[in-house]
Amino acid sequence: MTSRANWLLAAVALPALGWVALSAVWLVMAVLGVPRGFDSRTMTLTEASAVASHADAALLLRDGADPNAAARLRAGLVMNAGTTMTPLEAATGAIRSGPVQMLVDRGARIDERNYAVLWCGATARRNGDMLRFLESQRPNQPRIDCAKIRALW
Amino acid sequence: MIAWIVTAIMAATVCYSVLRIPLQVTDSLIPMLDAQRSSSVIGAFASGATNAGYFRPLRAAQIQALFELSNGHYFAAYKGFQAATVLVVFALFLAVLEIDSRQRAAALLFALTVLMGLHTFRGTVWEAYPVNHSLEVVAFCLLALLLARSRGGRWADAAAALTFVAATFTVESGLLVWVVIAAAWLTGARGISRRGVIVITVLLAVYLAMRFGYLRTGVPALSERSSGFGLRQLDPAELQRRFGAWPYGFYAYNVLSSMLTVLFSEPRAGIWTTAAEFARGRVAAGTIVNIVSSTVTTAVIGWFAVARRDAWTRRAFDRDDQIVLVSLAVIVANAVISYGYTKDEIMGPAGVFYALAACVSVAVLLSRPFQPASSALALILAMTASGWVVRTAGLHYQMNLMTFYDRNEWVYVDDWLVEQKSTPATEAGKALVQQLREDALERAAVNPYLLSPRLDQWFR
Repeated sequence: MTSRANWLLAAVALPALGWVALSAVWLVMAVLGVPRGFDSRTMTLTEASAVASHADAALLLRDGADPNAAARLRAGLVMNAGTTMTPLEAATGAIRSGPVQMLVDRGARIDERNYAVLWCGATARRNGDMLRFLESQRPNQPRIDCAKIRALW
Repeated sequence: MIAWIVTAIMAATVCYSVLRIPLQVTDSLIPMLDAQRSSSVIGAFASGATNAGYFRPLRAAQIQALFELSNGHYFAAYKGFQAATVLVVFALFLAVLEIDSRQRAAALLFALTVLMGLHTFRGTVWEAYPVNHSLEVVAFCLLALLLARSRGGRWADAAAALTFVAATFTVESGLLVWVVIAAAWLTGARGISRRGVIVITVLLAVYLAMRFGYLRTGVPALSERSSGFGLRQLDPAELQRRFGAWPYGFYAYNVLSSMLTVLFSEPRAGIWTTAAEFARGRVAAGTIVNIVSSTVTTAVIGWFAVARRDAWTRRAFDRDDQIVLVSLAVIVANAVISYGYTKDEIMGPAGVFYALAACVSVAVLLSRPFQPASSALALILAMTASGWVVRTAGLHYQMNLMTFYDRNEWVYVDDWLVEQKSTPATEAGKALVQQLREDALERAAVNPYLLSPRLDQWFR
C-alpha cells in the first residue's frame, strides 16, 4: 500500500478515531463522577429559576427553600459575574420558560415593590414568556420608566 | 478485536446517555400504569393485539413482563433492557460488516459515526415507551440480514421465521424484516433457504390477513397526530382539512420526504429546515454540516452502485453488493410504510442500513488504486468524516437536552395525567406515579444553560 493510499485511510478513520479516544476519556470521567460542577443538583433556587430548571426548583422548594429569599447566582449562568438576587428576579433572565408559576404558587410575591424591577429585567432580556406572565399579574401602577428602575442585567 | 473494542466504546457512550434520561412521562407512564392494572403477560399480549389502529401484542407483553420482573426497580428494568438492546444493535451492526481488512476497519470507524450521527438514530435510540420497540426492530432487521448471510441450515430458517414473527408482533415496522430477507435472497444470500423465504412470506400474508381481515385493527388516521409539510408542522385538524378528502398526495410527500431525509438529511420530519431557517434569516452551521456530510456519503454509495451496475445486471452479487442492495431496499420500504406521517425516528431502521451501505461503499473506495485526484478525495473524505463526528457529538448533546426536558416534565406529571384523563384511581397507581416522579427528579442532569449556547447551532 502506498503512503498516499494511507492518506485516504487516515482521512476516513482519524476523525472517528479521535472521537473514540475522547469517548473513552469521557466514559472514564463519568465513572469517576467528573466534573461535579456540572451537576444541576448543586444549584440554589435562584439559579434553578435562572436556568429554567423546573425539576431542581421543585426539589429545592420541597426541601424548604424560600421563594422570596435572595440567593447566589453564580458567574457564567446568566451574567459573567456572580451576584445575588431573588428567584423571580433570576427568572427574568431565563431564555427558556422558567418555573415562575411554580414560584408564585409556593409563595413568591409579585407586588408594587418588585413589579417594575421584574418588568424591566424581563424587558432587558427580551423574555417574552416572563413579560406575558407579568402582564397577567400587573398591579395598579403607573407607566414604568425602566431608566429609573434598578437594573438586574 | 480492535473493531469490537472501538464498537464497544461507541456503544457504551450511547448506553451512558440513554441511562441518564429518566423514563419519560409521555409514552411511558400510561403503559406502565396499564401494566400495573393488567393481570398477566398473556392478558397484556391479548390486549396489545386488539388496540384500535395498532397490532403490537409482543410490545405490550414485554412491558408487562419487565414490569413484573422489575420488583419495583422500574428504571433499572426498563432502562437496563434498553441499554442491552443498544449493545445488541451495535454488535449485530459489526457482525454484519465482517471487518477483515484495514480498509474495512477504517470504513467501520466512519460508519459508526454515520450510524450514531444520523438524525434518525437519535429518535430511534433515546426514547423508552417504556420498551424501545423502534430499536428492537433495528435489531431484528440486522439479525435477519445476518441470518440471510449465514451458512444456513434449518436452524437459520427457523430463527428467521421467529425473528419475523417477533418483529411484526412488536410493532408494524417489523415488516421490514421480510424486506431484508426477501432482498437478501434476491441478491443471492442463501443463508435462509428458498423454503424458509416462502414460509416467511406466508407468515407475512397471514399477518396482513389477521390484522386487516380478522382483527380489523386498520391503519392510523390523519387525525391522530401532527406531521411536517413544507416549511412547518401541521396539526391533525389542519391535516384533515387540507388532505382529508384526498390524502394520497400527502402520503406521496411523506414517502419521498422519508427517503430524502435518510439520504440527504433534508427535509427533517417533513419540514425543509434549510428553507425555513433561511426564511428566518440564518441557516444554522449544524444544518449545513448535516446536509454536506450526508450528501457526500450518499454520493459515495451512489458511486458504488454505478461501479457495480454491470455486475448487478448480470445478477452477480458479492457480499458488499448484498449489503448495499438490502440497505437500499430497506430505505425504500421503510419510507413506504411510513406513508401516514413523517418523523425522523420512524426511519430508524433505514438510517442504520444507510450506515451499513456507507461502510461498504467507503471500504471499496479505499481499496481502489490510487488516482491523481486522490488528494482532493482525501480532503473531501476527511471533511465528511469530521462532519459525522460533529453529528455524533450532537447525538449526546441532544440526548442531554432530552434528559433535561424529561426531568422537568415529571414536575407537572399530575397536570399531564389530568389532561390525558388518566389520573390513577388506585393508591397503588398514585404510589407508582410518585415513585417514578421522585426517581426522575433525584437524577442528575447537566443543565443546557451550563453549556455554550452556540452548541444549539452546531448540533441539529
